[in-house]
Parts: sequence; structure tokens; C-alpha cells
Amino acid sequence: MHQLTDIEKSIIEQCRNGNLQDFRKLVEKESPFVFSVAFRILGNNDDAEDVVQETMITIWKKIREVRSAESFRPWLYRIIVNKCNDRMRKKKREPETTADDRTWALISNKMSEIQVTNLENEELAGMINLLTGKLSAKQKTIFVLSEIEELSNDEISMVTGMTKLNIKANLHYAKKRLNEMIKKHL
Amino acid sequence: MGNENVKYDDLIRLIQKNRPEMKHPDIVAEKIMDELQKGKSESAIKDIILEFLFGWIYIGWVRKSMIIAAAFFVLLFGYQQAVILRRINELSAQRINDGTLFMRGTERSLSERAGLFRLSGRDFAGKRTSVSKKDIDEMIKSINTLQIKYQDLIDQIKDDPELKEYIEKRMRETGKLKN
Repeated sequence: MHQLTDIEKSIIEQCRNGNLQDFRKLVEKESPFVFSVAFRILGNNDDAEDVVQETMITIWKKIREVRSAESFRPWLYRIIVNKCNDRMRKKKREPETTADDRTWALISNKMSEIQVTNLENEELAGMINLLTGKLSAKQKTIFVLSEIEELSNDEISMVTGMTKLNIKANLHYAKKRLNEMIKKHL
Repeated sequence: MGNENVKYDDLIRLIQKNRPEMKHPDIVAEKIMDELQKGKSESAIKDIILEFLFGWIYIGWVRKSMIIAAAFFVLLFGYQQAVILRRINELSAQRINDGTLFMRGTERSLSERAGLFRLSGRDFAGKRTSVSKKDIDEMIKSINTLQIKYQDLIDQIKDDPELKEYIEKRMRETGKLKN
């Protein structure tokens, strides 16, 4: 998990004292990170922006509950994951994305030029939705936290409240599902 | 299997390298700050109470369930109180009959009675009072019993003008006998 710099720690301490000016600095610093995590879980630009707003407002309301600046990042992950889960639950009944040949072609193309590739948000959203569309909300969250955000199982357990065994099982299923898709399409 | 693993790793690396970027971070930051300023000035009491009572629950559906359960118990308590008040009101309005005397329970002021009726969800009937035929029969019976019991006393008073005059004087003084 990313370690905070001294400046970030100082900003968090000021926010804990109710300083709204410093909170603006925190919003500017943390919003891109919150957005990227939410985007990778939800695969949607507008939803990720909504999660950024909701998360930052929750942070302001509850920042006094953070015991120290060091525990800020796991706490932030927990809020993002909860907000994303709420959103996924609301969207549960929407039709799932189906396998799109054009997106697979794009993935294949980008993978061959991995050193120079630069994906647009829309392309990335298409990829994420294609890869994780058939996974449950829990599997999707664990896959993103473990494989893309590179959190350890202990950290994921702290963020989601799940046991390590449960995390391993969900991750195994997600990887298996993805490998099947890779085998079929790439 | 080895080839699939390589492809999987490449795919993950591709997603890792491409961190999604916000299109308008300034606008989002502005919206957040506006929302906080608005919330701060309004100082929503409801939110403060909910945060105070349920802020420790992080899971959305658990928090909602707890709020619904709490609201249900508050309503149940209110309903029970209304039922108890109505029952007390009914009991206090019942006749007390010891065989000789006929009386009503504790009297309440008009405003007090109106308050109780409103709380218990009943229409307040104002000064209208309905008495059944059975009640009137029992009242007449108790008056007759009283008259029989005190007939001797009344006869003695009639026979003694001085005593009669004295009693009438005392009753006038206490306002129980009008001219």
C-alpha cells in the first residue's frame, strides 16, 4: 500500500482539526487516486466521479475517527470499496455487458505494443467491464485490489473485512474465469 | 497453460500501467467544497443525530436496517403510550358504585381531558355527556335509599322549628341553600 509523505500526513492532521482549507488540498491530492480505484472497480467514468464526491464528503465528516495519519490509506480504501459496493448493488439489475469482439481485438492490439501503449478512459472502461462483467461484486473488488492495486491479502482483509481464506477463494475464481476468457479470445 | 499465464500477466500489466484519469478534477473538487460549505452552513441536525447514533456502522444495508428498526421501536413505543393513556382515560371515567353512593372517577379540567382525547386519537365531544337508562335507574335508586335512610332525621328537623331555623341558617352561610 502506498506510503504517505510527510506533507500528506501534515495535511491529514490539519483536516482532523477541522481545517476546511487544508481539506481542499487533501481533495486535490486524493481525488485522482480515489477516482482510479473506483473506476477500476466500477468501469464507469460518471459512477467513479460520483464515488469521488461521496468518498471525500464522508472523509470530511469522519476524519476524526482516523487514529493516525498512517491508518488513513487503509481507511480510505475501505470507504471507496463500500461506496463502490453500494453503487454496484444499485446497478445489479442492469443488463450485463456481453463479450465484445472489438474490445478483445483492442486488448490483443494493445498487449502487443505494451511499452508504448496509452489507453483512453473509455477504452479502459470497456476492457474492465469485459474482463470483470461476469464476476460478482465481491470477486470484482478483490480482483482489482489484489491484482491491479497490488494490495496484500492482509491489507485486503483489513479493507473488506473478509477472511484471508475467503479472499483467496474469490481471487482464485476470478483468475480462473479470466484465464478461460483469455484462452477463448486471445 | 504457460502461454495463458503470460497473456494474463501482460493484460494485468496493461491495466496497471494505464491509471484512469479524471477529466475535470477542478470541477469535481469545486463541487465537493461547495457541498461541504452548504452542509456546514445548514448544519443538518438530522445527519448529526444519525451520524452520532449509527456512525459506527460502515456497511450500508446494516446501517439502514438499524435505522428502520429504531424508527419502528419508537413508533411502537408511541402507540403503546397512546393505548395506555386511552385505557387510563376510560378507567377514570368509570362509575364508582358502593351500593349507596353513585359517583364518577377523578374529575379533570376541560383542557386536560381534551389533551388526553387528542393523544389517544379520539374525537373530543366537548360538553356533551351521554348517560344510559340503566345509569339513571341506579341513580334514582341510590337517591331513594338516601331519602329512606335520612327520613327520620328530616322528620325531627321538621318537628323542631329552632333546629330547622338553625340548619337553614348554616346552609345559607355555606351557600347550600338558596333563597
